Amino acid sequence: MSLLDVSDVRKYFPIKSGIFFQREVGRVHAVDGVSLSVEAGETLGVVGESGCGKSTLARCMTGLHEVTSGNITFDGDVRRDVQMVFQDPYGSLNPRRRIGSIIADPLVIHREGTPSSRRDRVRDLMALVGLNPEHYNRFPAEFSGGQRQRVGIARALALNPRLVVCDEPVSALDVSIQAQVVNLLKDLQAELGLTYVFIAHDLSVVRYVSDRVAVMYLGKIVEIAPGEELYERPRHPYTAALLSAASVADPDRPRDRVILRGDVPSPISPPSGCRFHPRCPKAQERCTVEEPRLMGDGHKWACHFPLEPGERLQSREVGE
Amino acid sequence: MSLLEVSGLRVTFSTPDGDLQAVRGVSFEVEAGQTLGVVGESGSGKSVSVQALLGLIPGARVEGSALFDGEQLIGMPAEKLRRIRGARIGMIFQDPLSSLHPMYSVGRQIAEAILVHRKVSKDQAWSVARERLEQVGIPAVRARDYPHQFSGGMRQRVMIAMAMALDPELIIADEPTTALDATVRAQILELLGRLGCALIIITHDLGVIADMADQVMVMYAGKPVEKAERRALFRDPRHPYTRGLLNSLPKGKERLQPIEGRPPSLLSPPTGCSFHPRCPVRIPRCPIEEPPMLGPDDHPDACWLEVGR
Repeated sequence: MSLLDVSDVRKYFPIKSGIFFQREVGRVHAVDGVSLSVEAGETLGVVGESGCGKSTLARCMTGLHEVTSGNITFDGDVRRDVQMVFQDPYGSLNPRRRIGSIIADPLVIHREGTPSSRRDRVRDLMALVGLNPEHYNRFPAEFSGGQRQRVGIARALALNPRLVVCDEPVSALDVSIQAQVVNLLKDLQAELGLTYVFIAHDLSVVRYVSDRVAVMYLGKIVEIAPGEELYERPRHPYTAALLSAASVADPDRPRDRVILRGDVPSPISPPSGCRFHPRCPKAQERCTVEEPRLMGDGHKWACHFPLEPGERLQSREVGE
Repeated sequence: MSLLEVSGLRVTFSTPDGDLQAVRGVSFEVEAGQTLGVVGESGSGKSVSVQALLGLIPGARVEGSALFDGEQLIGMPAEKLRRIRGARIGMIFQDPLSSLHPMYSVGRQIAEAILVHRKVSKDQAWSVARERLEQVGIPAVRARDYPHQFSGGMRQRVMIAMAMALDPELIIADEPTTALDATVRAQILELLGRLGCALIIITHDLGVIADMADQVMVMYAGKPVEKAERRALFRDPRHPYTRGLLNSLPKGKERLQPIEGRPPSLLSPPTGCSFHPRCPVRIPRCPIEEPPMLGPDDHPDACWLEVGR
């Protein structure tokens, strides 16, 4: 059995209008029928652009959102064994509380140990994530962005969780600090046998940390595969376009970006059929009516006309 | 003569904790039609140095020289500077939502910029505004729409249309793609690449630099540490900080090599070379003496190790 099973999960947010009798006038289809499993010890990367539902999915996995329909089963106690690391190291720490008491929070909530044993545990955790345990009594404002993210990680690890969901853990950090935090997460995984769900929009970071990668678009998974397989042989046109648009620090890379038309459509009224069809260079009649299912074994994709291995997505213009 | 020649630029802010030197001696040139990429992490002074030239940082003490087409920008009377800004030098900012006025249609905002600088009729200004919108891929019929009716990528296109409105000789783009998604970012970079005028792109994203820049200036703690042509910078990074930045980026599955420590406080920058506390190859001279730009003219860097090369 997998550590975490997500099956046909949907999360809709109602849009209400009116002052006295609020009636529902629409729904944001944030996550719309997602199924996946996370195996113990692996890192599952989730990539996608803003509004694709990746953070909502993370919050469903950790139980911060109740799902609208579908099931999430976790092999263990969700409230203890699943923890989360947030994107914003400034917004996720209460500025008026001391670091030590922030990290001890999960222990207090779950009534673990005595005040003095908790203090020892917090000092151990601080050392584990590379913070000076003597800074126990400092306030978040006295720490830099990278150090605050370490505080967030220490807090997530306080209860010895089995699964840590990291929602854009390094996006707010500078490049040189990003690498420090990514290495820390990697080391902790090896040391503590953690399982990660790693959500990010930076494709190269996801490639580096993940064993498998899922690509989301407008609330759905469009492709999921072992990391290298996905990056080397993408089958879904959206994955291919996303990879070609990624920022790569290589001046000699051929500039054959696939320029997609337009923006991501609104998740309030997603397009019919395949949700990517209005922007897809390969879309045909069938794509506008029939929604493709996620199919395949190991490497799965949801597309009627997937790219053949070696096929290049037609780009509208070729640079240089 | 270069289009823009900046030398010895210093920007200082007075704070209750003492003087903060955000920019501590920056020199660079931009040639007509060329793209200069300025890269650095937060607090490196990359935005401040360029905005200070245009008088966009009130309360800062700006020293040094900045010749734009032969005219000295530093100390220029505000009224004269205003005639250059917008007309001959365009600006694109990171966050288009806070740079556009929410209560005026985008067409009106572009037309207004034209009316301020040119003696043309309102109709003429509007027709130029529509033309510019078409050029950046926005249908002219949307000129009467308001900023909130556009997506993030479209708003950034509006900003570009506005910056282009008066055919400036230079456009300064400050983190133009940072707030955008990958596929939209690709659209905007493609558009910026087609502008044709001189461009200064300020970014923390080495991928943008690799794509767009002709010349690159790497900044650290308020100073340039390395300048090079784009390919030379990526193929043969010389300064330990530049190398550290490039090594911090994931390349496949190799373990990342971060730069240890963190950038210094500019209230009390380190003595000598400001990178020395984090530098893996420092020598005894580094904490004592500040290295000037050394090495070949087309690829100088501020590191004492250049002396032995």
